[in-house]
Amino acid sequence: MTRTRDFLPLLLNLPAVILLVAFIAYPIGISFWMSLHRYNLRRPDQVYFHGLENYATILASPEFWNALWISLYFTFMAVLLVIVIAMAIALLLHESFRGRGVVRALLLIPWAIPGVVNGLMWVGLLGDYGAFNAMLEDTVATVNYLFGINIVYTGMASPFVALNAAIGAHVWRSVPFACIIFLAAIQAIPTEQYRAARVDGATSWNRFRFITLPWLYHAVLVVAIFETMNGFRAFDLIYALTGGGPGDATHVIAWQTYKEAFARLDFGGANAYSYLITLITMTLAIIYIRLLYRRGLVQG
Amino acid sequence: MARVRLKNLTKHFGDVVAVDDVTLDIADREFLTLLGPSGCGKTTLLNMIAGLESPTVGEVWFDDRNVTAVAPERRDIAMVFQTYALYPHMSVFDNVAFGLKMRGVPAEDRKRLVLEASKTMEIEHLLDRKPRALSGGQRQRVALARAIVRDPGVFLLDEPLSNLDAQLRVVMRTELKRLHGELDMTFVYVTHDQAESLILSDRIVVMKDGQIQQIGTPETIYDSPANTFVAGFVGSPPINLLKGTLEQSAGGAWRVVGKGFGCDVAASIVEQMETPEGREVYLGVRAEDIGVGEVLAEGSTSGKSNVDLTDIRATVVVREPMGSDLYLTVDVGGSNVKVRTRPDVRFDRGDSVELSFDPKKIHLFERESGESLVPDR
Amino acid sequence: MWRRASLYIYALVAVIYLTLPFAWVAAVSFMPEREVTQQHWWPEEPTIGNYSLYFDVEGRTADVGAAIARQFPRAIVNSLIIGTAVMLLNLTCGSLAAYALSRLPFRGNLLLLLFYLGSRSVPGVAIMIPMYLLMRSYGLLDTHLSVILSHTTFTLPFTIWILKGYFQTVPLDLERAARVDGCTPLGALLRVFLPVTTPGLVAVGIFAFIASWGEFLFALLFTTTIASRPVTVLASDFAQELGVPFTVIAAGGVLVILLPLVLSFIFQRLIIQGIGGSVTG
Repeated sequence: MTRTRDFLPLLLNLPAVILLVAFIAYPIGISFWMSLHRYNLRRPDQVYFHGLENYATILASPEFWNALWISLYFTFMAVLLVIVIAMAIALLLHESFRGRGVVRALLLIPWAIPGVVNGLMWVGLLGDYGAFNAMLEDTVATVNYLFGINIVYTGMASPFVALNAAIGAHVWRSVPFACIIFLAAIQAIPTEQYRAARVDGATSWNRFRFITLPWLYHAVLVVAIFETMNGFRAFDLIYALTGGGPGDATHVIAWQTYKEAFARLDFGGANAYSYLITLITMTLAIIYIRLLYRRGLVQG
Repeated sequence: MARVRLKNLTKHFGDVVAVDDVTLDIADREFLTLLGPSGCGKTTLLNMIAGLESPTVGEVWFDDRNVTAVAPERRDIAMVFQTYALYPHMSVFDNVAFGLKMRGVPAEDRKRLVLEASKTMEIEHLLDRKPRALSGGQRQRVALARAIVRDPGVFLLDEPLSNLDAQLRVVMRTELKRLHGELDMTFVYVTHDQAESLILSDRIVVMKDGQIQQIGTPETIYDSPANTFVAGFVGSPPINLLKGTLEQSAGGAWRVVGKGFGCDVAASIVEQMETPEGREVYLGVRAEDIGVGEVLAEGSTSGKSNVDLTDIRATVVVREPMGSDLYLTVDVGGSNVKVRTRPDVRFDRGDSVELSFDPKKIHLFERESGESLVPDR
Repeated sequence: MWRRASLYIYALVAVIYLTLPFAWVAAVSFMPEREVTQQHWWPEEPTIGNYSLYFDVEGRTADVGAAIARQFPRAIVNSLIIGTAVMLLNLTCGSLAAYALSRLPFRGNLLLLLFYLGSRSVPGVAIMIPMYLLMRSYGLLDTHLSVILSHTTFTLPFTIWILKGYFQTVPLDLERAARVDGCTPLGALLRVFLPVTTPGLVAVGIFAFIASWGEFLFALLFTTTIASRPVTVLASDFAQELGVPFTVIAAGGVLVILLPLVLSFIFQRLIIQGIGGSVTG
């Protein structure tokens, strides 16, 4: 009885499952298997199993820890900034004012721009002749003058500027998606809640703190999940904006993996890298999802 | 035109028994209501008649045709849903015409029939609109037009009035009754509103936990409820149920005696019982079957024993004037009892009153099972 | 009054933040090269010279970057083919799966949902090597199909998730009413369910298209020649080649962005409602 009932839904899921198993689950499995091998494309005759050797090598290498540290910083800053900026714009779009429709239409611009183009664009903005670069130079000069100090601004040649510029560009492109989610969540808050709070004498800050924020908890977590994953996989932007440089300042972990694989052709080592990234993002995802479940905000 | 017969219908959802062995014979052109609280299985039962759910056990017959395995589109039915389920992407005209179109009715006939049905439901001026541009009451009318346009043998209605506000509900209730009078159809109507069921139905089926509690005309259901559930569910305010014990006085007359009250019981009721003496019962009495009066001589009853009480002493707790009626909630030996009386009665909170129960109108239920001890009137 | 004014200032800041970077690039794309070095905000002598390099390549082969620019029209066609195929695959596979997940209760549906969510959380770099080897062993390298398949796998989980949420907002009674009105199950699906869910389907379709259009890693890995290279990969060549004037790069950037930008403007409302509604709802 139940067998025939279950047959149709499973059949309908079959195409999606086949695609995802063939091109995600299977590669992940292969990736793990390969990570346990010595496998360098330059020496195709010397492919052999050597257990966790690759992982040991990676965990002992300063490049990995450098990349992990950069990625963690990158992701943490990105998640934080995306949430703050997207929330600010969502709150704005929830107000009614003339021209709101225009702002809402413009909201999707950063999202529609491909990561590579976004990178190229910021190269221009922050490059020697870039409009933002000029502004930054002026700002630094003013600060130097006002405080009588002498900061040398070297633009994208500075590791600090390069990494934070990459974060800024990444955030800029990620804001719209988060904003859409926040906006939907804000609009779902019943207006009576605000009226009730007003009657109870809550100030506008308190209304935000005690009504808006708790209602948005779920949306914030969803955005945090998406953005954490996006942060760890940031690649196209780095490729176009900094090329990993200057030095290793923007060697995020995705970039490091790409280099291991296609510059050094060490597929074994690169797969071990991949697997570590997957483990890290999966762990974070599970933590987030557990948080959602604990709050009773996700139903099966 | 169709007679609907349900034979031992049962529906399981996993471990849950939604409908439990229901056998029912619905006459042609009858207006039958399935009444019960939410989760009692009435909607599942209706869906099985429609063919939208298939029964785990049992059969559905339309006239002499076993339709248990027949798909809903091949049964001669129309249905009105609680949420109306109007197709949002079609105009009102297309909504009403959709069923005809699906059955291959030619365009010209379709137009004529849609216009006819819209005239009946008074929605001719709305035909070009989309459902989202309609008010709740208008949507309801469109949903009804969509159902009647095909002239089905069986007309199924699933809580059609529950999304309307109180005033519209009264209007549409009358409208439904008019429709049933004009049309040649069997109506099966699901509701949790006992007043609707009393007003509309030829017969009511009261359900609880997937089982039929009682089948009968509105009068039977109201005057002779089969058990405490039916008694409590049908009627507003709900019937007063008081715990008591059957006792025989020295003179041989039977009484129900409980905390703070005593009430005579007709011999005809007691005669049918095997061991009436000491039987634990619920005494049921409706608010309108209780008389209320002043306490004539203060303290005059204090010397008497309970058994000799002819009237019942009570204290007024709440007074609720309702325009044409006055409801008093009074305290009888620690239990609240609702009394309906004339609006000119002056009693107010704190007043002592004497109640009298109409012996011909009281109901007796066995305490443990809740089954009625009174034969049908 | 003050509140109004501060609201408009707030809105202005938001608009500047969202548009200025792109607006500047768009302005630069119309500047002669010399104006960029003067750090102009607005072209004083606007020119379409930067664009003509992309379309009138015969006469200007000597220009730096002309070799890349010449391939642009072809790359845009590649991106169109890939994006459209990804969209269609997403819509067919995604709506079937989402329909089952939202409408038909069955054992294992939670497991499937978690599987979809899990596949969405796998980063592209984690599977790029096995994917590369897989495509190589099937001889799919440098074909549209390899890019289409890889893009579909990373967009599909999201599509299913969103559509499932969207489908659940359609009352079951609609299809029941259609059945009672004389539709077969398939008829109810085609005549009632599909038309009602069209906005959601359009939203996820556009979403998948734009995601595919912008994807870079897999496209970079799997394609080597202009026979299959999409426009993002081609644009990235500018980052590698030295000396290409930024005005030319800016014009190229605008060309790449144009289609997704237009699509997102047209379907703005649908995308915002479709994505927002089902992620949180």
